[in-house]
Amino acid sequence: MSRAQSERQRGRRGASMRVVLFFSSLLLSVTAYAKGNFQRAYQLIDQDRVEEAAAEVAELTRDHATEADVMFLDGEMQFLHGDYAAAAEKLKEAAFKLPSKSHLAEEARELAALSSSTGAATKSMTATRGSHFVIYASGPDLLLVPYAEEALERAYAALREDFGHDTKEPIRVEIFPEVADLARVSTLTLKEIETSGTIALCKYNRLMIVSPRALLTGYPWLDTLNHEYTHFVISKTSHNAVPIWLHEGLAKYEERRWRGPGGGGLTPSLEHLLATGLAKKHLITFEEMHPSMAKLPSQEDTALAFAEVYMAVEYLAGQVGWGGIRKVIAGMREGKSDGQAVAAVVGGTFADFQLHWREWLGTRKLKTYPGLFPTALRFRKNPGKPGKGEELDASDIGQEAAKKMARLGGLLRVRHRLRAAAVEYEKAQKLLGPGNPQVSHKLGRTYLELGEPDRAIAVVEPALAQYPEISGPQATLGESYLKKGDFDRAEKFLLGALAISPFDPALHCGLEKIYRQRSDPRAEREAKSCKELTP
Amino acid sequence: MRGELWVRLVGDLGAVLAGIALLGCLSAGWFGRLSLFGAGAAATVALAVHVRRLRLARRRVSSEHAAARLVSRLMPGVGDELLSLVELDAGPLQSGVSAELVEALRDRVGMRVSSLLPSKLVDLGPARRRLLLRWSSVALATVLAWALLPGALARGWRALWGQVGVSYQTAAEPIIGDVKLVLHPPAYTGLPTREIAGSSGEILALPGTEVDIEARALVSARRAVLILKEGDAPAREETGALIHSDGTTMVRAKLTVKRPGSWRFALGKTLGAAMEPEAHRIDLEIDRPPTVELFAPEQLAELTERQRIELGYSVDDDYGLGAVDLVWRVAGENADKDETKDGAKDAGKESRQTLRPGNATPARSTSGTHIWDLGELGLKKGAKVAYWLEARDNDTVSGPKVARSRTYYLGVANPNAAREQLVAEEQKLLELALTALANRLELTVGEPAATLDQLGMLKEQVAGLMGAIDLVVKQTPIPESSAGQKPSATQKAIAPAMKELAAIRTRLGKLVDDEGRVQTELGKRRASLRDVRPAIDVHLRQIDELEKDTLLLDDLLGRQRLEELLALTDEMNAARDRLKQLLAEYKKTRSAETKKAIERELKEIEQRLRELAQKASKLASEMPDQFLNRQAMGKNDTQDALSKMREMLEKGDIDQAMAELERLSSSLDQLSASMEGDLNGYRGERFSADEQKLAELESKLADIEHDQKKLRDEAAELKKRAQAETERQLNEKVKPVLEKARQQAAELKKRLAEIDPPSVPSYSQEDLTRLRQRADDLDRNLGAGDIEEARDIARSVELGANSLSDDLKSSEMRRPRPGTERARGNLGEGAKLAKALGAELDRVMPRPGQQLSSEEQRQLGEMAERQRALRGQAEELMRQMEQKGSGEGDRPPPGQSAMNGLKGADEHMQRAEQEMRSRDARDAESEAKQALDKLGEARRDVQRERRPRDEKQGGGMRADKEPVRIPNAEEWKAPREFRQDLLEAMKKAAPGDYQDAVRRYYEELVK
Repeated sequence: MSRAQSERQRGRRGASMRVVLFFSSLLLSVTAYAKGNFQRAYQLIDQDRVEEAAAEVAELTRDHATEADVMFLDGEMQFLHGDYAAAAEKLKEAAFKLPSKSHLAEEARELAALSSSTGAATKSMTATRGSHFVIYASGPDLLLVPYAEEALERAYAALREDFGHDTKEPIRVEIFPEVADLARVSTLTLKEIETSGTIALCKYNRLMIVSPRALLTGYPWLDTLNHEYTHFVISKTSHNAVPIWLHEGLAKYEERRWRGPGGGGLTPSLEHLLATGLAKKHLITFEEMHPSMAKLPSQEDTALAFAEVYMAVEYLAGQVGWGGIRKVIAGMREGKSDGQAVAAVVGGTFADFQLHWREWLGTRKLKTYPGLFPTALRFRKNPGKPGKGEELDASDIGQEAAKKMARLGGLLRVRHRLRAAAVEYEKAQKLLGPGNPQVSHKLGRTYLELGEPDRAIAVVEPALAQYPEISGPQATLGESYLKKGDFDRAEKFLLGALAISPFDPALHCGLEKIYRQRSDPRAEREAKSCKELTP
Repeated sequence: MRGELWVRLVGDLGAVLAGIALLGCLSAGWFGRLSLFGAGAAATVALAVHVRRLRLARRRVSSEHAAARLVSRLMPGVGDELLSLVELDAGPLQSGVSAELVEALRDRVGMRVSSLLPSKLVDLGPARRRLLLRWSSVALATVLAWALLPGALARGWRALWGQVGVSYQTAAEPIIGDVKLVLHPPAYTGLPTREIAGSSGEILALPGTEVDIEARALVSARRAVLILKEGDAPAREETGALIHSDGTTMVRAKLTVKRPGSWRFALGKTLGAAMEPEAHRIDLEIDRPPTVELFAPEQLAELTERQRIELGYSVDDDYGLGAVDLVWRVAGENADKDETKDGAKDAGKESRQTLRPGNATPARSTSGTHIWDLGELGLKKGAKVAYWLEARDNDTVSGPKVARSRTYYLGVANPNAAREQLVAEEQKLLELALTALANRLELTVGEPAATLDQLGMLKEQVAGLMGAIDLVVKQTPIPESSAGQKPSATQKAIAPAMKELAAIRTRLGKLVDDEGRVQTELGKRRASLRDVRPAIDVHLRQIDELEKDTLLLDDLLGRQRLEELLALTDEMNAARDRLKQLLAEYKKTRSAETKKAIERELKEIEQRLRELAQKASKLASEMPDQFLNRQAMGKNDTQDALSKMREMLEKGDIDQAMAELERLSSSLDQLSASMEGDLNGYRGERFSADEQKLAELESKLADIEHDQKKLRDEAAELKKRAQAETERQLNEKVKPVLEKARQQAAELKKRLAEIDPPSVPSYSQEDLTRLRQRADDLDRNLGAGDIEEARDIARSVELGANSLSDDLKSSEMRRPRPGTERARGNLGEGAKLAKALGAELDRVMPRPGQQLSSEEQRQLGEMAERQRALRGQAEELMRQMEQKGSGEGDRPPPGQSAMNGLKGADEHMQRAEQEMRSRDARDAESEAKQALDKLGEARRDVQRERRPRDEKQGGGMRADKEPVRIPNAEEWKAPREFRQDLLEAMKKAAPGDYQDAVRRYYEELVK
């Protein structure tokens, strides 16, 4: 299952509905001023063409600043540009002026409330401006900024190549300390977020992610940032016309693009889910994915949907190449439905496309991984620094006896009885077999502390093969290789772990050592993080 | 030579001054201090003469020329040359004078002068003789005066050194008579001015009393002096006044009493005076510190933090009271090392509450009771408090005197103390178990003898763990509940833990015995590695056992810690419930006391929130994240709701405050539910089958409750619609009959009012009153249009009137009374009116079936089916619980506590179903609601079974509301009242016959 989910709430159908409602309400409220310009501005916003819309709205505001409808648009523009306080004021005023029961007044009220709560959630954030992105973060999350900036700039270059998209305005990125904040700045509820595992959003002309410290074991936050940026690019290039299944499929396909080529196959957990779904003939249809992946009933369903759409894009790319995909997007931008656009490029009908894709899935011989450990996102309840409790956590171990051994290992390890702890972990691993990420990680760490890096590597490597999305095995491997003096391998694994769980001080301390040895200027940054995070 | 002259002059002056001093002494001795002026004048003249002589002598040797001239006069040969040389040296050499000659003269004079002796130059003999003569004369005079006039000399000496009075001669006879004293007591005493005529002159008064003294002079006098002696200080004089009138001379003076001492007058003419032969004593009256008595309940050891205590006090002072304070110290809050009565370290900082302010109306006594609210002290559980009363008097002269009462002690109960202690002990046991386990897991099997030695040590470690368990079990007695009382949360928590510990102890003991036996056998022979095998086997069994025990101890600890957190939420919920009641009360009364109580409850919730956050955060470092609770760690909006509530209360917006309380309430409910969820999760993961059964039962009950709630809500909605429909129909039908009905009600009231109370026997008076009230209610309900209620009241009035009429009839048969027959007539008419009214209202009331549309009636039918199905689920659950049979030992099977609630719910469900079938939405809703309440009760019972908690939690309101009273309160009231009566009586005039006796009594007192 994917560690991080993103969300696209408003597809083309949602947008169309909004436009219809808007114009019906407009008929009630509009006055004699430039209706044409007004409609155009509204449509531009709806098509995520914010820069163009801004020019239209500026013109409207110049001549009709006191008209409620224009105030609404002006407020929305301010919101989309991140001026939340001003947006809230403007929208409240617009709502007051508009007929109270009109759709537009309702929308103005909702958007005013959202602006206020977003303003409150981002109040303490500090902005860091880069070439193409402005990253907002606060407190400990400021540590993430340089890594995020580096990854996003790389993504920017890669996606410009893939989608031909360029941007004039810097893109706003917000990093929220807690998952509840995501509920405050979106229309999703906390329950929906926790159920679906949504951890990031691309909406309202900006990217939003939750800090990996809000989760017990982190999540692939740099991939997720890239995933959200892909959504951003697709929305811009398609004028917000791409449906959820393709949006998410492309974003999933491209999420590792910042560090290499796109695609790369499913992770074992997603492959397992999809294989199981196919075997049980339980797949999520493209229609069910609408209006948002976040609305699916469980993290498992959401992950299955992601696996499906990823494979759909892989299939499409295989059929028509990247150029074909760009054509599909262009078709939709020009007003074709997803079915028409795909059919036009692939040939046949959209139903044929789906049929062939399913047949193709059958030929892929996707594997199941019996006993695979579920890697659903686990939100941290205690936002403080990790304590002994995490060492004692054995909740994900299914087998009762092994769970008890692992707990005993934890109890002994926190008391620095390492040799005894290793004995208990070994017992647990014997019961579970190699590859259980929790036990192998803990056993590996214990070996490391006992000064036995080779044993640590041997224990952790099988877990990494099955769970590349978990930071623990990578961190243990990174530290083990560091101990052995193999700096290149150590760096690879430490960076891999950092892209998932960046608040582990050992990662930064290890990287500092490596960079100092190489006289790399990044050593200072890592030294600072190592010092700050070490309890 | 100059020095010699100085000696002579100073010696002369000394002798003269000594002579003058001697004369002055004698003069002062004879004539008083005034004569010292004469001695002083003589000394001044002598000094002036000598100064002049000194200046003259100085002038004679003050320059070189003068000295040379003096030498020339005394020794002409040398002196002339010396004078010449001085004159030659005085200016430049004149022309014609040989410098060589001058130099030669200088040498010659130098040689001659250097050989001169000053003694030869001046003859000091006569001067020395004169000096000796003068000093001898002074010494002789002194000796003679000492021998012949010792008294005068001594008096003079003392007079010279400022000792007053002694310079006066003591008169042989009294020099004053008819002494009158006027005493002005200090203002703070409130005492009136007292005049004592014909006094002996002795003064007994409070410090600060001003005394006017007046007496008749018995000798002729031109001046009067009051000689005042205070304590050990030297006597001082005050000038008195002489008033001559009609041939008598009165003498007057004033003094302020400060210390004990004496006074006397001295009267005299211009020179000399005589003082009274005896001084008059001045004695101080004592202003005593107040008497303070505090009466409080003894043995207050197990109070709640919110308890109120009744204190009685009685404070008296002889002249006037100042502030009266209740003072307390809380043990352990500061570093002072006083010991309290029960050995606890007393705290340093004193806190106080004023019972009587210092500037209150002047009074000599005060008494009363005070309800001391411990809730305002912010005490913690287990706190020990020492308290007493402190009173000051109003003495502004010597400063207020402070008195304190006996010290009492109280203690706040800590119901969790035993549990907290147990948790601490269990933590120690866990550490021991882990150490023993770790050592065994790390054992390296090697050379047989060494291995055996190590195993021996490991066995001892386990024995140590067993000893520690024994100690805990021994030191943690399970508190027994009294007969008829439900066991407390602590009892419920401790008992199973003790059982688990005892079981661990038994299992380990068996293994240690086995291990000991094997090791002893092996120790008797030289064992090979293979021989050690049995010992290793037991060692491995020990590891298995220790693993199991360690986890068990860890689980017990975790559960108890989570329960501790939940106990805090219980306390918050209890405070919330009290708050609701108080707020409702405050809305009605707006009393300051209720507002204060509200503030206390708010503080209580805040304190518990803080404790919760602290404990939860501590737990966060020791428990897996999955069992932690975000809300418990402060991620809730309770504090926000509390602050807003306080703000609204300050503004006086009670409705808004109540709305905030609702928010707080829902936030607390959420917090409790979420923490219950965590605990359930923990138990589900870590605990036994029983726990899981209970969890399953709770979950099923929650499901049934949920569905029943839906049914109840739907029934409530239908009831609402039925009521609306009834109202609509009534409006149509009733309006025409309403006017008539109100006339009938008025007639009914009139009939009842006409009944003369004496015509009704005393035991039926109450019935009559009630009947009249019901008639009023009937009229009011008709006025408000509540036909349904009016109908019911009309029926009850009819029954009541008939019943009273019967009573009157039987009373009349026993004892006829005037007017009874008329009363019965009125009652009969009233009953008829009520009956007719009831029948009329009943006629216009819509029938159940008419209140709902056919669609709604169909819905009720469907609901009846659902109700039946739900009842089936409840019955199935009961059957399952019965099939599970009896529990282990004397323990009931899990979930039995819910049985009563479930049975009750089942009955109400059945009735609800019937009402639904008969399409009566109103009764259906009522029954569905009662079923829901019973289900909730059953679920809470299961929760309680799963998590021990105090039954009285939240119900402590009544106990807290009533203050702890002083036992035998009358005992302390009697003496106080008695004293008060006496004081009051003293203020009043005595009865005529007793006036003489009273006067004599006071005279005696004065004497």
